[in-house]
Formats: sequence, C-alpha cells, structure tokens
Amino acid sequence: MSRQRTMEKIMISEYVSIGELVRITGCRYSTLKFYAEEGMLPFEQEGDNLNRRFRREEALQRIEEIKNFRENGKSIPDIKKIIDTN
Amino acid sequence: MDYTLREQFALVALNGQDSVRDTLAKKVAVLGIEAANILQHLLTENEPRDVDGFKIHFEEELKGIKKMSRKKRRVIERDAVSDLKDKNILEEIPSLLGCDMNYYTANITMREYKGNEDVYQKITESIKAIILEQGDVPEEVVAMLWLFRECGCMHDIFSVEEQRKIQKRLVEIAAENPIYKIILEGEFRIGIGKAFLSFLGWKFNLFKNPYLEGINLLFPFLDRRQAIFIDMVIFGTTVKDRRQAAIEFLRKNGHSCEELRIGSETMVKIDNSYYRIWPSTRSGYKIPIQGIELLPVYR
Repeated sequence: MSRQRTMEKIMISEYVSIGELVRITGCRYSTLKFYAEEGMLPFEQEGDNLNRRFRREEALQRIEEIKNFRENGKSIPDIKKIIDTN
Repeated sequence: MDYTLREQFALVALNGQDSVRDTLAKKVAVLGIEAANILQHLLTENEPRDVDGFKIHFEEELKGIKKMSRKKRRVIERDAVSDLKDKNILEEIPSLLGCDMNYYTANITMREYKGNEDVYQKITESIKAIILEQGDVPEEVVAMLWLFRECGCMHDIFSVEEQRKIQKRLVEIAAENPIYKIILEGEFRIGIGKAFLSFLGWKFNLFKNPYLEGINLLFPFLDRRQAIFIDMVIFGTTVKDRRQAAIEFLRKNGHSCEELRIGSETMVKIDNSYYRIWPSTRSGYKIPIQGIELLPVYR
C-alpha cells in the first residue's frame, strides 16, 4: 500500500511515473501514452512489471517542445521526424 | 498544487450539479464528499493501521452518512463549495439546461457548479494514468475510484473499455490488500440513490448502442448532463456557421466551449463534458423551429 507523492516531492525527484507527469503537465493520459509509445517521449522500464518511468526534466522539456510544435501547426509525423533527426 | 481527497472528489462530483435546487444526483455527491472527508482522516491519522479497527470505524462512519439529515447535507455542500471557491477552482455559472429553448425563452434562471477545467483534467487523467498502467495503486486513487463508483460518476470519466479494465484491476488489488478490500466493499448509498444508480447503469448499457442515444431526451432529469435544443435563424447559413453560433451563444451564457474533431465527427466539449452536436428541428404550434441539438456523449 502506498500514498501519492506530493507535488513538492515529485518536483525534486529524478524519475516520475506517467501519472505524475499528468499531474505536472496537465496533459491527458492518452496523449502522454501515445507520445511514449510512438517513441517521442523516452522512458525506462523497471521492476517485474516493467513499469514505465520518465526522467522528469527531460520529459518535461520534451513535452514542452511537442506542445510548441503543435501550436505552430506541425503534424505528429513531422514532429516525430524532427525529434528523430535531433 | 496538492489538493486533499475531499477537495479532489468535491470538485469532480459537484461539477455540473444544480447549485440552487436539491437534486438526487447532488444529494449522492454530497454524501460522497462526507465519505471522502472521513476516509481522508482514517487514511492519514491511523498509522500503522489495525485492519479490524479500520473496518469497524469505517463501517460505523458509513452508517452515519446513510442517515444524514438534509440540514447537515446543506452545511457540507456549503463548506465544500466555499473551500473550493476560496482556492479559485469552482464557480457558479448559468446552467446548460437554462440555454435550452424552452427554459431560455421562459426566462428561467438555473445555475450550476463548474470545476476549473485544468484541475478537473489533472485529477481525472492522473487517476486514469495510475489505474490503467501497471504498478502500485496509491490509496488515494482507490478511495477516489470507490467514491466515483458509489456516486455514479464512473460513466462521466471513463469509457466502457476503461471501466472494464478498472473493474478487473480493482478486484486484483482488493485481493492483495485488506484495507483496499474494506474500502471497496463499503457502501453508503440510500435506497432511492441505489435505484437511481442502477437506472444510470441500465441507461449507460443502452448507450453502448449508439442508435439508442436519443433515450437521454426522455430522462434528462436523472443525469447531471442534459440534452438541450438551441433555436436559431438558419436562413443563408452553413452547418459550420450554425455550430459557431451555438458555441458563441453558450460562451455568452458563461460556459466554456471547445470544438473537437474526432474522426469524421465534430463534438463540443462544454464545461468538462462532451456533447454531440447536429442541426435539428422542433415544432411549436405546428410551426417548425430550426436549431441545433446537443446530446451528452457516453464514451
């Protein structure tokens, strides 16, 4: 049995779960899951269940980048190409 | 910002509820807010936990909730609303039903609660992310899911497929953890509330078949979301113009509206809920009245 981490703790930890990323960014779960599965949002897997965990700073930066690209009218395949070439 | 269990549940449960009159849906939501308050104290105060003691205490408190008077319910609602308003995450806006042609032209004022969209989305989406992913499920999430189930909010937040997965997951975690089992077996529904929830369940099952969605027009009073009709002049307009006019009308009446394209279909997100929108006609004294119909979407 566990308790949810406070925002204060989340904001100083190196790794965060997808649920915590949703809490920090306000993005939809389905959106982040899609980004992760499309390889746009890098993650590592741990434990027997291979739980996904994200490097907080890196993930936040990447989500911000994707948001900016979307606001500038770029499509998801275009964004994927840009991310892959970088 | 972190919100307590009571605040998180109150925000979701009061969203879309009539703020002036007593409704059955609001009654169940207020009982849920009190249950959230009790659970919050039980989960934070008693460490380490004695399972039997927790069970006795929790069940006693739930019995008290079942017998709650109308006066006490009003106090709980007022306190919860003032807490959320102080934090600027809840407001009162004109009710969506008040935008329906019949109510609007009769000059009837109806008001409802509206939760802050960002906070509402963060709460519901983070619960989705935790319960639908593998890994530990924190006790706050189990408590919120139990409260959603008891208060009939599940179909507002989760799709049919998600509900199936959640049900399966809850059975698994209840088997692993005795405290979770006690929480999930708890019940505070009153007789009429039970009937109301089973009716919603029946209605929800009907909506799995999209051709029966019109049935919502027959029973708008049992749901917190309503099907409404907005009349307008259509001469010389396109479908898009009419949709825009309807959105403008709703915005003018204090609702937040966002047009969404999902596949070939256009939907409108109004105050944290999704609606299907299409041109329609009603008749008044045998005269056709043109306008648009908005119908809640059951995902």
